[in-house]
Amino acid sequence: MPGPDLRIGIEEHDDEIHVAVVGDLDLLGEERLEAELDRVWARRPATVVIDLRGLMFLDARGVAAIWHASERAAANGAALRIVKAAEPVQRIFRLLDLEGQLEFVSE
Amino acid sequence: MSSSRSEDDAARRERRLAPGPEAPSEARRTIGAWLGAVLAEERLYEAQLLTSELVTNAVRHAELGEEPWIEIVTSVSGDAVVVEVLDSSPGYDPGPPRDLPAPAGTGGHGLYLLNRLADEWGFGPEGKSRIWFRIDR
Repeated sequence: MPGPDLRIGIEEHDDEIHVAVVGDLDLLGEERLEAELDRVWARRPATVVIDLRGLMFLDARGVAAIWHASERAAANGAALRIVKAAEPVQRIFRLLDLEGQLEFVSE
Repeated sequence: MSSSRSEDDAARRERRLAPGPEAPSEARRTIGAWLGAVLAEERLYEAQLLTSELVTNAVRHAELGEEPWIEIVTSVSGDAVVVEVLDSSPGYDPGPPRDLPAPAGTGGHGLYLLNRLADEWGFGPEGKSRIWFRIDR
């Protein structure tokens, strides 16, 4: 059951940037996502939406990348919304008690 | 199938992985291939998540030496699977089950998840870098 490679799609709408993360987000993907998000924050968006609906796998390294994004948003005075992953991928946020600390939306 | 095979003679498979950022995904694919027909979907995902965490810890934190290797071993018995992650470091004592680490922290999440999701886990013997966990079928 090989997971697809990580794909990151970025779309800009006015002052909002959507980042769709598809595939497996782990140690290998952490650095790539952080690098993509560096470019996103450089555009000074008011809102960033990270869409996790296409994730097939997420471990603690991937969670760390998303947590860093939330810290970066707070530092920039920007809003960060995260579109929930499907189960069982989403469960790791509950296990690590982060569902209440990040702004999740259903879609 | 041999009739002489005893019930506790668990089917055992092992594979060495090259340490590096691809090792966790390679380990997950291996677990999926070996245990996909054995575990229910949710338990398979848990086994892949825990394997990914342990292999990630080995890649990031272990002093693997001049000839580095990471190995995963699975053993399937009638009511459970056991996954072992070994590596070429001298081994360490992860200590007692830990509290939930801070989200921005760089470590501890894997062992926390191990303690939450595995039916049993352990490490050792002393002097050997080996962590194992059991997932009931």
